[in-house]
Amino acid sequence: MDQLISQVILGLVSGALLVLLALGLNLILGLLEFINFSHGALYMVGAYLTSYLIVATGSIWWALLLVPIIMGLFGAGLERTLIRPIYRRHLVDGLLLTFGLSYVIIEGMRMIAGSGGRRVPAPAVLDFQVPLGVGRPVPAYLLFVVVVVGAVVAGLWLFLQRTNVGLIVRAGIRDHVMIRALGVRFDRYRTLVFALGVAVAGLAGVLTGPITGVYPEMGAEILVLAFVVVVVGGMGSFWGAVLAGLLIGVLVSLTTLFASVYAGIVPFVLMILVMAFRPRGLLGTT
Amino acid sequence: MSDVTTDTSTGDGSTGRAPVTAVRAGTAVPERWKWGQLLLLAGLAVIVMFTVPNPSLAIGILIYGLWSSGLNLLLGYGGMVSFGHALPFAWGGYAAGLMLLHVTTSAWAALAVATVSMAVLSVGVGAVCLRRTEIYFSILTLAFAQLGFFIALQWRSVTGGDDGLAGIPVSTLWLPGVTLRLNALGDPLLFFLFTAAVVIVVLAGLILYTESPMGRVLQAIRENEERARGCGYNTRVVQLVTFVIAGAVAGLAGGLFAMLNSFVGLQPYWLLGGIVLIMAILGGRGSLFGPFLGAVTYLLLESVLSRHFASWQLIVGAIFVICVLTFPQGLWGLLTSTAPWRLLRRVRGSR
Amino acid sequence: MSDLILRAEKLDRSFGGIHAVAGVDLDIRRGSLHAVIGPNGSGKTTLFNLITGHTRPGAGRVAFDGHDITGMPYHKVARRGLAKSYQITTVFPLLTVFENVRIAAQSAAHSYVFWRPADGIRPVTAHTERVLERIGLAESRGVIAGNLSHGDQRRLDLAIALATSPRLLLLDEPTAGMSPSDTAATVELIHELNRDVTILMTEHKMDVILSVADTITVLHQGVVLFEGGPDEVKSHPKVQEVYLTGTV
Repeated sequence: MDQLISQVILGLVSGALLVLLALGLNLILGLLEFINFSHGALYMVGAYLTSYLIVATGSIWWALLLVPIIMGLFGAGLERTLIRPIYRRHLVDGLLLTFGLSYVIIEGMRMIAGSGGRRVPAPAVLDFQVPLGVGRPVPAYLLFVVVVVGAVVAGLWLFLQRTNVGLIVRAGIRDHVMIRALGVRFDRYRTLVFALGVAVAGLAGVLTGPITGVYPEMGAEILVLAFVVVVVGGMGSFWGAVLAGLLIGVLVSLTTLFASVYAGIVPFVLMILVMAFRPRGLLGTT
Repeated sequence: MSDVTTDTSTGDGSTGRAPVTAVRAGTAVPERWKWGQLLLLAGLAVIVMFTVPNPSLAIGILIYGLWSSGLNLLLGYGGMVSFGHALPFAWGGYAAGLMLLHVTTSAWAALAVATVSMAVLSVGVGAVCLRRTEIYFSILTLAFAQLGFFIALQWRSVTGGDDGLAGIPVSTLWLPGVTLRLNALGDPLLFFLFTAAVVIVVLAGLILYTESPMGRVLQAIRENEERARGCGYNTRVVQLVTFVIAGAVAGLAGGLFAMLNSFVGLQPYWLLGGIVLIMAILGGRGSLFGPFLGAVTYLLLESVLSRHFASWQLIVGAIFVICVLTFPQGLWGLLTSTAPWRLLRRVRGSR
Repeated sequence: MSDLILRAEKLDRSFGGIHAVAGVDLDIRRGSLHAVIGPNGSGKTTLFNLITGHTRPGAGRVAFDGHDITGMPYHKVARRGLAKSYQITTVFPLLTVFENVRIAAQSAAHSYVFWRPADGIRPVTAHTERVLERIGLAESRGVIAGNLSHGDQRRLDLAIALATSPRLLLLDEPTAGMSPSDTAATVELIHELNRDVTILMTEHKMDVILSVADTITVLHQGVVLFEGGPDEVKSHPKVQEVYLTGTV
């Protein structure tokens, strides 16, 4: 029983990280109309930046603050220089371009940091176990991750609901033609949304580091799962991504406990079932 | 020799993804070759045979080219980006490997099983991947490839898991009146010629498909799916048939690759999934021959660069990005828009 | 064979509380040139989408040539002989003009053929030539469609619809965004086409409507306000009140 509860909590933590990636993908997908294939690679860069920042500053707190900003700026630069020329082309080119970018980023990181991984220490302040009353005590850092993700999700939701940018983004997801009529300024929103998505991916990288360490392929692995989350939750659906991310996290975690051989397959089976019986996704509307 | 069906000289300006008023054509549309591509491929095979010193590399070029050319049916002709084209290649490899190991050493049987079984599997996979839009398609193909990877990794009793299937026996090739042994190490020339023959026959089939009414509809769907439906076409059926063909071709290529190496491993196959996409785009998505150019270029770049530079894939990735941004029609597009080629066309046109 | 090619009965559709189309009956006579008019938001587009199967009706049914096509997928409706020319020009931009039309022309008999070259099918290429000739695009057959002028793209759009040999042609604002001279040419073309195809069209330009249509249905807020010939519509007081005043 104890083990079961611990496993559910672990699942929620890994699911929460998936949620962050999936929300960023969803945002970009909604407004820019293509899957950002380099999302996983950018997440990996965020995680590596964290490991270097910790060496430089001795604390993860600076990374939590700085990495999303750096990654956001990097994302904005990427959008302005390389991605912008692709909007007016066929959908296929956006996919291919970001696929190529991820290739370059991953290989570049291998060249800079080597193929081996790096360990990232959890902050010393959080290096204790929290008794929850049920189950085994849980490392404080994992609870911290859940809290941060919760705050970011809430913040994003408010941002989308309450601000002008959010209004445009939501309108853009529903009606691209109408939003195009707004003209030139739409470009800025695209940059902003892309930067925001990358910043959130970077943050996910910061949070992941102390749990799994960092290595060049980490993004490629999780990206596929984040895609599955987007599909299962419903493309463009905010809460669908949250629900599907947590669901998949917990399902995988529980399968690891009972039949670890199948753990890797579970998300895909879920995805195939969803595509077969509810192709618009759990909370998708169209 | 070849038929040029489109006028490319007028192409300039930019494409609107969502046409509001007039739709503009993109940058120059590359020339469309039909049967002439077969001659080009035969010529390329001859050049490769005489210039590439490493027989395994020479045969590999043909196999990768075949795999990539099949992918380009989806990518360039259908406008569908599959990130999961490693799945049919790996499946074909395992299918052929298992046949040769446990059932028969007949090359025909092994390749037929690799091709047909993958075609059947593709019907199911394609039905799921094509349920929704193009974006779903890309994500779902990637997810299926990952699923295949997990299954191959875990199902050790059949696939050998991490260790792969080693010691695949040399296959036997029955031809009318003669029986040959397809030993890639002992008699690489025979293996090369056999591969070249298979590849050329398959390319002929692919050309026929792209020139047939159904293949033409596929290209119309790439341009405007809604309109194709308005012409009365069940666009999903056309896309599914194409997906099955591309899967079957990849299965065949995977089978050949397994025979070439006498081995089917896990890691190499899945790492190759992105490479085949790079080959197709770099070579040129506007033709079926282009991907063969891409395979040659990629593999030669690899063999030259990897000797001097550990991170050679970084260079290849950068070339790929530049290609997508500045010459999206790849080497084939560059080649067919260069001066001598244009001259050739003008001469032909004036006759 | 019934005199009606299309019969829509009690079609109903609402979007989030707004009744876009409310119990519309529409009969199209074979050979007629029928126009549906009405101010913006009167339900014209929704009505078209209900007919083509793009939108499922909340209630009611559509019969095309005696067959129930309610809720049938678009490509099947198209196959039965109902073609649509689009308000937003939709062609196959990277294919040649000839190929654009040829794709549509082959749909009747050779849709899913994959074992012989498409260019060798004589009846299809001959039919394509005839359509190009008729629409006046024969000269541009080798041009990439995306490089055509706006007016020519609209004509190509029409040619694609026509090449499927439809029995009913839906034209959604065929002269939208056209210059006066292009408009005049298109009006002439529509007249000419109507000699062997039944046409159902919408249009904003009243003068175009009044000069081409033989039957006019006036929609207002999702219901049929009036139906009659051009002269009746012109003189009908209620129609003038909601539509003609201020628009012409």
